[in-house]
Amino acid sequence: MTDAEEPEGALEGLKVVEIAEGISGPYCGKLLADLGAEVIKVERPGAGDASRGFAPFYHDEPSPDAGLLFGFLNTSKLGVTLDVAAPPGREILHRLLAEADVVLVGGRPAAIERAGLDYASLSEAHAGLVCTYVTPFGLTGPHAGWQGSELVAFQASGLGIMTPAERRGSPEMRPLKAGGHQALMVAGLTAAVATMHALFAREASGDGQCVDVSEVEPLTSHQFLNLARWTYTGDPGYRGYTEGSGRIWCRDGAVFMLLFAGQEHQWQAFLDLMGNPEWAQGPEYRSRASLGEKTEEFWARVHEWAGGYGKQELYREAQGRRVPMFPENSIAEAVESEQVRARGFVQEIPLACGASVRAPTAPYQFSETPVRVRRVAPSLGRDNDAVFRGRLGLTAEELRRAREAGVV
Amino acid sequence: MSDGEPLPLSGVTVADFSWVLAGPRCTSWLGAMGARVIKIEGPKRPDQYRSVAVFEAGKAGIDGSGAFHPLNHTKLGCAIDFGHPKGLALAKRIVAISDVVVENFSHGVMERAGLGYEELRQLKPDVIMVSSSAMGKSGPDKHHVAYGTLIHAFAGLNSVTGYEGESAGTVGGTFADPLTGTTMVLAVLAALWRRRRTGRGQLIDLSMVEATMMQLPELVMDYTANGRVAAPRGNDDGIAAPNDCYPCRGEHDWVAISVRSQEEWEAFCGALGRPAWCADPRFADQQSRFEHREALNRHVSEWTRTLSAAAATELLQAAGVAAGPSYSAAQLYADPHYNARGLFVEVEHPVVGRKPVMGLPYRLAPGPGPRYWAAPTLRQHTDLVLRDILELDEAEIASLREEGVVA
Repeated sequence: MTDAEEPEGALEGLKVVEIAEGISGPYCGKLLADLGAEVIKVERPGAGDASRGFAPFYHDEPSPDAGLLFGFLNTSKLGVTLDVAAPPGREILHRLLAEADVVLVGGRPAAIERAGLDYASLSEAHAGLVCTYVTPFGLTGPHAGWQGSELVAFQASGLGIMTPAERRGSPEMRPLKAGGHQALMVAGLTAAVATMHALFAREASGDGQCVDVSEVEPLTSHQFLNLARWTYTGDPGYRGYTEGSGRIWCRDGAVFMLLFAGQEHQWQAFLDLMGNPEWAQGPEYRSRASLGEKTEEFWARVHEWAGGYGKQELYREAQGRRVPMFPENSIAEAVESEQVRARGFVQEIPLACGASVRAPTAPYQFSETPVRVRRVAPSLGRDNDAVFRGRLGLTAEELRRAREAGVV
Repeated sequence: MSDGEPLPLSGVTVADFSWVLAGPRCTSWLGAMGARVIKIEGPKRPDQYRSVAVFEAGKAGIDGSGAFHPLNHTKLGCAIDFGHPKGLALAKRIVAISDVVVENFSHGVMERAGLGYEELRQLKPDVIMVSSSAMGKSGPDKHHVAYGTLIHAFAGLNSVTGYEGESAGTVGGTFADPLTGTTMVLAVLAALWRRRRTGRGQLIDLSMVEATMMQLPELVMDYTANGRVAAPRGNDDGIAAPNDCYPCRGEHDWVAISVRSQEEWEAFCGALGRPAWCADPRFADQQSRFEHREALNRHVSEWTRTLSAAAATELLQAAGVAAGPSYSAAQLYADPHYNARGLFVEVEHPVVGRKPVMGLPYRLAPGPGPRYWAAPTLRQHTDLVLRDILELDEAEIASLREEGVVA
């Protein structure tokens, strides 16, 4: 089913069955599929993946095949419909799993168990299968049954109470999440890592693996620095850290600059960028670390100076002197930036509704095994015939009966 | 370092030239999976994170930083000045016995040092090199230098974070760096998987800006398809209400609540004991609740203020409503769930003693592994690497040390 003339992906030959909805599980499946794995996405007959209903839609016209996030999260996959909880559907599923290396399962643990997709059931039937579960709070622990959401996961990670970082002096202002679905996407990425880890574990031990990924721990693991601040210094980790960086306001927006305390050449380069002003000649200005009480005055002077610049202009001049400074871009400015365009990071992908739209491609470039979109995200049940008849050898009659029973 | 049963990455050697955050996070995970990771630092130019001021009282110094430790567990650490010709020769010998090379210097540093991919594959034809930088290894701005928080600004993450009506906000703590580290791990594992089947290595080029933009697909596509440029909107998702953080009884005490369906709304009202405002027709369906979320959020806040975040969470979760506290670092470290799942792993460090690091944020059973040991001190494994791995004799090592090539 793949185009023989296209170069192979790194994971060519790996077979994955995905029974997951929403964002985290499907993102894991997408990463593996774009790397070359064959991913068969199994959806509920009728409604399909709930994320088919997520806005935004292409040209704002809602349709199960026009969801932009769905179209992104399900590239390169084969799509079938199957009621995995009904006995005839379960039988077909097990025929799929018999050929698979990995099954990727999403949802809450109780629902997973009810559908017979728990590790005890699957490993009994398929020794050697890697079973990756992506669930709101994980399969074990006192909160395993809890309901999750992007907001709840982001706040559980420790990042929320520190966001937005610049509101240091305003503990009465509510914690925020970052834009988009950062916790769920990081969980999906981590699930892909965990799945590969498990495949190597299977090679080392010969055993199938139960991979238990929660939607809360992957983002929480980003908070190692604040965990260390707490355990080493007793700082409980509230709002205020921007890790040594600061926003500088220009004529038309802002730039961000980070003067790493250990990199004195960057400090000097920044003073050079400002033309080594008279006010910066005192001993306090020898390094960032020696600013002390002058810190506030320093930043006030910097803002006064930067106000005459446009942000892109200042950014280019600063980078010309190796000063770590970046513009604060809108999404449009990031997408249209010269660098992102030159690398082809944002490229047209087709959607099942027939349109195509520019989307992020991959977070890495492989020199030998290009990462690429192999197939358009499936319309509901698009590959039923190819997979059930072509792959599993179901007869037309068997498939017809399954359809009539509402299983497919 | 153990000789027990084979771990998933047993037999894989990683030459680790990385520093600061993203690269070290990647290689610590590879170490936990069983790879032999050899971290190479300059004796006079050690990892900058060794100087980040997270020190216990009386433990400040090159080996004491709590910023360095959690990113460098489960590695061997050696100090080799690869700016010196003899040090470069040693670094090349390490590469020649390695399967994977990881680096995250600014673009061009490895090439100028004589350690670019083209040189490395002469030394080890099937080497996998993972190279991460702010902007990637191609394009007109590949030389630009940046750190994590600048990446957030460039990638547009700031522009979609913040209170409604504001222009941008900054994500607290670190985000793009650890994200890039995790992405690097996936790239290494995929390339190793490929190499086991074909015997071929490759170069993987990773841009932190792109790793971050990859996290914002629907916002990128809403712009490219619909011309809409997203702005900060607090915690709103445009659909659900209540869906926000609400103040609780204590200081820094907040509960996040997400009610995303009629069924969950009924459960939510039930958990609160069905106060009169729940029957307000403005709150009858999801669309109307979202339109009137300001009024709704005032009612919810009045209720949450009477409770601790922990108590509100228990009540709501018992009713099947998504809820949870906004954790500080101190609170998440005390969380019974994270602790029961073994998210924090204690390791014994020669300078700071027993300290937690973040373990791999998932469980794998039956394994084997993962395994963990504390981050190396600056010179901890120099002799081990030179003597036992590169098979130098004691006299050679002593002379290199005298010349300042190694420490």
